[in-house]
Amino acid sequence: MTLKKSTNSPVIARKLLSLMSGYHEKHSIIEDFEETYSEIKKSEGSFSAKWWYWGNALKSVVGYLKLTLSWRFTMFMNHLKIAYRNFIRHKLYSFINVFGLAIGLSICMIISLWVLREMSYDRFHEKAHRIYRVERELFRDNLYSRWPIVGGSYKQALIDDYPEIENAVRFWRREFAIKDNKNAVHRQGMFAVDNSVFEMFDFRLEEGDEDTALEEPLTVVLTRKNAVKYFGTGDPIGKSLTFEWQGEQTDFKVTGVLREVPDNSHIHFDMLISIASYPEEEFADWRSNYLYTYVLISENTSKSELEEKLKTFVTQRLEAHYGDLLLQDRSIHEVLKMHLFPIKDIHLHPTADWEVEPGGNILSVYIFSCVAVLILIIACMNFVNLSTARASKRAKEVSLRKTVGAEKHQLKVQFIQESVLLAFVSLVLAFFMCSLFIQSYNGIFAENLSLSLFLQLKHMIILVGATFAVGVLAGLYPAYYLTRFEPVAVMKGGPLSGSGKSVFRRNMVIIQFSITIILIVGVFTVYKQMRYIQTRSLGFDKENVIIIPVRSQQIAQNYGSFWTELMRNSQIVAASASSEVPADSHYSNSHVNPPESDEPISMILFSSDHDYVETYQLEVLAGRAFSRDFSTDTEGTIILNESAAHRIGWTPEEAVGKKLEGGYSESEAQVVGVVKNFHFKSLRREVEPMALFLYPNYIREISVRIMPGDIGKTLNFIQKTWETAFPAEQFEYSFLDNRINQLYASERKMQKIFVIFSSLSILVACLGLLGLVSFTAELKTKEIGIRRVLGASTGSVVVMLSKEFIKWILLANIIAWPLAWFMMNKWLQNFAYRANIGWFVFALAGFVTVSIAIFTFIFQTVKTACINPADSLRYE
Amino acid sequence: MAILAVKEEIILSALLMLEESSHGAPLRKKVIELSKKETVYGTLYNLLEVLIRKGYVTSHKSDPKPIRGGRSKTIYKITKKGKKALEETLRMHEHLKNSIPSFESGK
Repeated sequence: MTLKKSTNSPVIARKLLSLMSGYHEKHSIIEDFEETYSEIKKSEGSFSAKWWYWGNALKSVVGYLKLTLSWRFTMFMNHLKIAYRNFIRHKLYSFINVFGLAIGLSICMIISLWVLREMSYDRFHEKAHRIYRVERELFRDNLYSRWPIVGGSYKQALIDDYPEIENAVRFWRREFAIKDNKNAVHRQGMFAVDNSVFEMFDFRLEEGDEDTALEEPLTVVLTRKNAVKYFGTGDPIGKSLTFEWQGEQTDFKVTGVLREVPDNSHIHFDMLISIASYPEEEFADWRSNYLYTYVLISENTSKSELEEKLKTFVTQRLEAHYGDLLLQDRSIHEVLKMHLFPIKDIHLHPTADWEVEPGGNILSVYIFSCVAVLILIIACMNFVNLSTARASKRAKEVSLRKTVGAEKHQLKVQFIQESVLLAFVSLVLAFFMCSLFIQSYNGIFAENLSLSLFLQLKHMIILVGATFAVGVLAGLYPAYYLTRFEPVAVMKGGPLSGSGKSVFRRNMVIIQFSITIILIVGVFTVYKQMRYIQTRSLGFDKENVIIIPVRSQQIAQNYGSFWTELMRNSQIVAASASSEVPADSHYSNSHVNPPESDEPISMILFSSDHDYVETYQLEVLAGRAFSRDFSTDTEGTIILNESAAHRIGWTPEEAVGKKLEGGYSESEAQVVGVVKNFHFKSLRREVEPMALFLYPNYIREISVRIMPGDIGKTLNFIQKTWETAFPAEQFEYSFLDNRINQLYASERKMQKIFVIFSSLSILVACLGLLGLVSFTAELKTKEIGIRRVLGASTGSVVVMLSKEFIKWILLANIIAWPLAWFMMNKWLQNFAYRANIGWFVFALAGFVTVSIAIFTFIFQTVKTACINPADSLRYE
Repeated sequence: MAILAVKEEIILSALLMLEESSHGAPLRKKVIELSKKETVYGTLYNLLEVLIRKGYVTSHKSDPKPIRGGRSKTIYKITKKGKKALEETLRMHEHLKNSIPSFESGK
């Protein structure tokens, strides 16, 4: 379009004209406009010429739209009408189509809600992409640990050493007894933090000054809800809270009101105190690690480069304190590494130990996304399958349209339009179903999902786009298939290629059922593993044990009298105070030195009183348990587990009587016994070397083994005893078996989701099968009639109709088994101790699919086979 | 006998007056002159479409002229059928006019 520059006509209006391709091709609209324009310009000046150009261009657009769209619209309305009539005439097929697709879509919607939620963690912080958590990785001889916690002096050192680190904040988990205005004492969990928390994160104060709120010692901020608990209604700012602070009643001043922490944060709190309340000396020890440190790195700093630079931090700041680990000339970098972990990843990639809160699991995100896509595929296949199966019904329409001049591509457009339309009807239905099910979903999985997320424009567009794509994809094959008919052949009533066997359709059914079978095998395997976990002997008796948390030093000091009081009740078998119990969220490890070698060996350390072995009913392999009868059982005496003895290189028998150094004992201490390995961590992990020290000064939990029977009464007794022994302390308890079950919460959730979704996928696949079978039966009505006249029994007709489908489903089984085996084996790798999948699971999955399929088409074929031959032969 | 609509009649008359063929711009000018009403290109094209479909007008692209940037224009030409239809319509108008007595006497 090279026009003379002198014409000077309005560019935008000219663009507008060139959009109207019809006028452009058939008539030379731009040239005509230019000509008139230059004439008017000559006679009336350029202003009125422009005015004319614009006015006429816009008016011409109106004319153009009238010309083109009216026809398209007329055709569209016709297609709509035909689609509607077809929908009404074939109610069953239409229902199967729409309902199946709606199930697929609604599952996809719910799962994507969940996935979106999981992915959204910690992204609400404006600087989220620059915030990292400092983590240390420690390779001690045999124990590897990666902890997200570091010492208290790391923060300032990091800021001082690295200009790339703009800011840093420490989170130290604390718990205090606090008095409310009615003098009742509450146990309150909180974090001690630096004031920079408000600079780095988007945690906000509703009231108070974010610049100074937590600068001063003995200051506290809390959420509005929490404030009500302590002060009732009314402004809490400026009031003070009385903490039991290092044994003394200390007042903390409220300097701000916290906004609630969003659900999708990896860390939650309703109270923060200033970390400056602790004296600097508190953080002097470089070797102890206990608090979370987050750093904000400057824009344009790459994480990996900074991590590389942190090596100098290890050599300059840390090496001096870790000298004992540097044996055999190992470099410090082989032993100790510093990492920066992006906070956006914390939720889906939580560290195994010392994580702030139990996180999500990236594997489940993948698995559930796959399940969603698979189910949607099944539903789409139904759609394709049924549309092509119904082809013969539409053949006459197609032929007629062709005869009166419809082009192939017009027909294709028609069919694709139709399937897009059905897809949108399904979408509406899916929305409806989602809103019904989301409540129960939230209930079952303890989630808090909301459909309102889809009302956001961005998600709305994606949803509508995806539905459109599903409609187009599902419509493509039918469109291609249906428009192939030759009008002459169809009109003559010749045989239709759409009615008989179709390789394509067969493959669809096989794929659908393969997917279903994989899901069923998944269900059974997860179930089997869960049963395995529940029934496997853990090495201790997990039933009838109550765990009471110990939260103050006073309890530890007066534990002896409490214990004596407990033992008076015959319902109480044993009780033990210890620092660790099975199913704790984390365990500390340290090292012990066998005297004959100077190589320290890392172990998980437990400390307890005399009764630990008896309370947990651990099996003693060699030697004996701690005993009050032996005066030699002094503080520091050791019991090892099997794998610890093995690690040092002793058999259990050899270990007894040997001496070890380190851990909780001040000097060399004697090993008095070796216990069989017991699973204090989840079955995902191998049992690590563990050393149990007799060291009753350091206790965190009291475990009480009670007799089965009237547990309520025994609990009452324990509570009363507790209240007399420690009047100032709250009594809380949990059951050990519940705590252990909690370890597998994510597996249990996965099991439920698998059950629900695989049954839905069976439902959808069966809907498809039902449609296909009834269709085949309908096509063969005449054949069945003749067979019946010639003496075939109902049974033999049913067999005839179902033979082929059974063959397909068996084939689907054979295809699905190896795939399912491979996938579930991968999943089982998560566990150090796992069940065998076994052939039975596969056989069961096969049996379930075949029997459900048989049930589906017997329902339909018997109906067909029972029709009186006289009726069926008269038909047509 | 085909009776033309008034707008069609005007276009065909305009084409005849422009020596049976013309491109868009002069045609529009003529149409405006004859009908004493503003006519937008869009309307003109739509009417031409109808006339082409009915076979009263044909269109073809002219050879590109070097002065106007090398693009061709669409030339519309009245067909024999078109001329005949116009003639018949005009004759009918004549007949109508003559048949109404008040038109004869008064002015």
